[in-house]
Amino acid sequence: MATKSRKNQSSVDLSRRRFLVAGSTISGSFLLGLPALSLADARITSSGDTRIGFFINILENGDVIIGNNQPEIGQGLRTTLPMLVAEELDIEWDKVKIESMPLGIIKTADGYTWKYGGQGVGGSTGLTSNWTFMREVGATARLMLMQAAAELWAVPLDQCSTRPGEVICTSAGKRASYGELVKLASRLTPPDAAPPLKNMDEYRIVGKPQRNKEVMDIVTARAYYGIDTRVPGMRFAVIVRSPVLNGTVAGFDDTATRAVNGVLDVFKIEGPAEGAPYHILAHGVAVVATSTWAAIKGREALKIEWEQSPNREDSSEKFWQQNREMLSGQGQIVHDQGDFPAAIKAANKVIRHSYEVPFVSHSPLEPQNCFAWVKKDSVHIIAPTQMPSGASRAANAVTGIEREHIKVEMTRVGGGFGRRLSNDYVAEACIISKKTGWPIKLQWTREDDMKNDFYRPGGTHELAAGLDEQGKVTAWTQRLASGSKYYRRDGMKDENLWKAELYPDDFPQAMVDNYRLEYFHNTIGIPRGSWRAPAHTANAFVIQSFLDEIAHETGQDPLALRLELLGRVEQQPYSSHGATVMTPGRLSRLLKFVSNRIDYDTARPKGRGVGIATHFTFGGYAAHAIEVSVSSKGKLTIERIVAAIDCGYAVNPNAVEAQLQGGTCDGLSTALDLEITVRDGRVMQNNFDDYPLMRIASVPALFEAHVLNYDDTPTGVGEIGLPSAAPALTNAIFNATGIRIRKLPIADQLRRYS
Amino acid sequence: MIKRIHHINFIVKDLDKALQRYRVLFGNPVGEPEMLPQRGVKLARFKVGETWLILVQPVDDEGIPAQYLKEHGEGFFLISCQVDDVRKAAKLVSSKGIEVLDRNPRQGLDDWKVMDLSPDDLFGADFQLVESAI
Repeated sequence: MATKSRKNQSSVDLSRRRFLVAGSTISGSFLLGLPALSLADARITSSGDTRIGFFINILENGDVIIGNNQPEIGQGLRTTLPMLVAEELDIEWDKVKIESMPLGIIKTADGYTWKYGGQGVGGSTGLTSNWTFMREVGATARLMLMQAAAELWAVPLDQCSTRPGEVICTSAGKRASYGELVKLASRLTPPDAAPPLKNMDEYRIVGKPQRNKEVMDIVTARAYYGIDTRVPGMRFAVIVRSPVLNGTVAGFDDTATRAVNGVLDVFKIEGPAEGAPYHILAHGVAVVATSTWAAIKGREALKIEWEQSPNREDSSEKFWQQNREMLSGQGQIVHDQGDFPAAIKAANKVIRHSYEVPFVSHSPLEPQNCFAWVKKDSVHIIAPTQMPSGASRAANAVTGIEREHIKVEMTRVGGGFGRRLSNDYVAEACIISKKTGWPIKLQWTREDDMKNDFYRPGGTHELAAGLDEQGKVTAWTQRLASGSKYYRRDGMKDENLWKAELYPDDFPQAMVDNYRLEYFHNTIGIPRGSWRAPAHTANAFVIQSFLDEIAHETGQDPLALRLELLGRVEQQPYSSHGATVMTPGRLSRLLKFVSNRIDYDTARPKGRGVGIATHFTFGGYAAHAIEVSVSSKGKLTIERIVAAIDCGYAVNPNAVEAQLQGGTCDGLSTALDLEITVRDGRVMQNNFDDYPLMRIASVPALFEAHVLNYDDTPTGVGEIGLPSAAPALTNAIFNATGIRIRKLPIADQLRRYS
Repeated sequence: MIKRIHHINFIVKDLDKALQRYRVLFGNPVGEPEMLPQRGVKLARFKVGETWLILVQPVDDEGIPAQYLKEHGEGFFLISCQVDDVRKAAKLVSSKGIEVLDRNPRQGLDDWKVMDLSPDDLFGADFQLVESAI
């Protein structure tokens, strides 16, 4: 059967760039996939490799195993993407089991291309980039099952239809389960193009709240994370990384380390050259042992002499001081519309305020780890990563082995938040495995993770607005001094560093005629990278705080001021990531909704207040209304949260709600207490005792997360739940106390004068 | 963990008037009245055995002492308990369910480093931890 199937595949018109691959497994089950493939891929297809593009495995007992090609970082894609396949395939959701797929890349004359479609999660694209593709996979498989039935029963195809898990032909009085048809269907030539997809009003699975398929495994500790990886014969490694930013190893004494029972090897790890792009984060010394514990004990016994680092005098105090000094001068004007200088000069009133947003760590609950086995001609990697193709490239860069011989398996990821877009820990594991020849499990400790990160950039924002006699905003500027995350990127020009930190299309650019953005780059040495909703977290905080300050200083209502601004434009083009247009009315709708839910207009006693904020990013819209109380001792209590998201169309409302809840908590946690500081070139925080994430007890019982559909186009949801949470909180604090938070985290600022 | 009652604060509207009465009980205060601008208060202190007794007058209407005075009126404000290491002590009491209101120690008089405990967890009483050599 397999031979016949391959023959059929080779007859497919090879000029098509997208085609379907069919084959059979050893057990006789049926697999289907619809990968985007080039001509070169077809060569591999016709060679009979049954693994290509396989997403669906219909077992003869009727169970269906659906492959998930994307990393699962807690956003629920391992449930949501198979829902799309299952909907179009027309099966019962409780018959579905999920299987994680490895990285699939194929070498072509033009370079590497995807085998299973693009793989990687970042920028809230995991669902949107697979929305059509995965439904087509399911619809195509359903069509082939109907074709098989029509052939079997000798009836026209158009007289066949499906009910969940079976094909029926009413006119012939026939029915057969998918399991009964699977062998026949697997012999058919796949269709030229994907069949029409269902109307959305026919959906039984999609758009309905579905429980995460892995939730039971997660809560019973059966879910497989990277840290759980065990491979026979593997050794364990830890690394001492330079405690000072960009420090190098002058020498080390490993006598005591090698005396530790279980320690097998100790050697130096070369980090990137000064200023060069990061392939790993730091210079250091690796300790390899028979267990993680032995490696850690060996590491503690190591005596290392470090070279003086050029960043040894870096400090947070210096960073903030430098920002203030830079902001007193002229920066790079990166966006200038209308005549801002004239408008601010002509304004009836000008309001200015500065805000500070700190460096923060990703702090995933699962510290970085990676299994790597570098052999002579191949590499095997098992890792929790957001970017498996990046892992493949990282392994290639440090081993020289061609990527087609690098196998990357993805585990469930214990928190991504942008940290695992970087595969530095994969490169480290490969370096150690290559050096020793052993299968290596590299393990970072919590402290390693806290002190070695691509932190969210800190920055000082200075905002100014000009207002006319009616208090309408006529001019707006945001001046930002920060350490751009584009620092040390390969080929990055200085004049483009701002692009990671300021987004010209963001609210309220389209609403204000005279609008200017200005940027100053601070060269502090602390590594920076993408942190959940990247610069949107900082920009939403400062813009939504500043709007409240304008409202307060001009006697306007904060909600009314926002609605007035948002009402100025019906729709605006949007060129930043995640969307092509932004519809301000969608933000207004959410603001009104959350304000209504929290009784925004109700007067509250002193010490109690409500704050609102809204933001648009990555195609999604969100708003928060938060009610707080602040005691006479300065004790802050979050009394109530109302959050709402408009992600277009919620494929799995349960998952969207979870992301909104998680994003809200992440935003509040970070605003309350989190800050990475640097002294003498060293990151000062170590663990959760001095980087205290918000605890469950701080989350109020009154926490509503509303999912409001808008149209039939889903957008990403992994990040949009976060940015407006912090300014809603600090606006509520102001409303309750009159204390304006202009520097995050809030920490002890409410304890002033106590 | 707690070595002794280090100081007891009383909140008053008018420090000069309060001093006249308290002198009857405790004699002259130690030194002259002091300003503590970072806490928005003016204060005077007496030494009673090993314990300081402090009279606190809010001078900043926005400050927490001023709000406390408005809500509770004059009288007892807080008891401060001396510990060897205020951060360690805070961590310990926090782990046992008593919330510490300050993330970091605040600077009090002299070398005092203080952290307040939540009255919600102490049946309404205001306690503080203090680290001090004196």
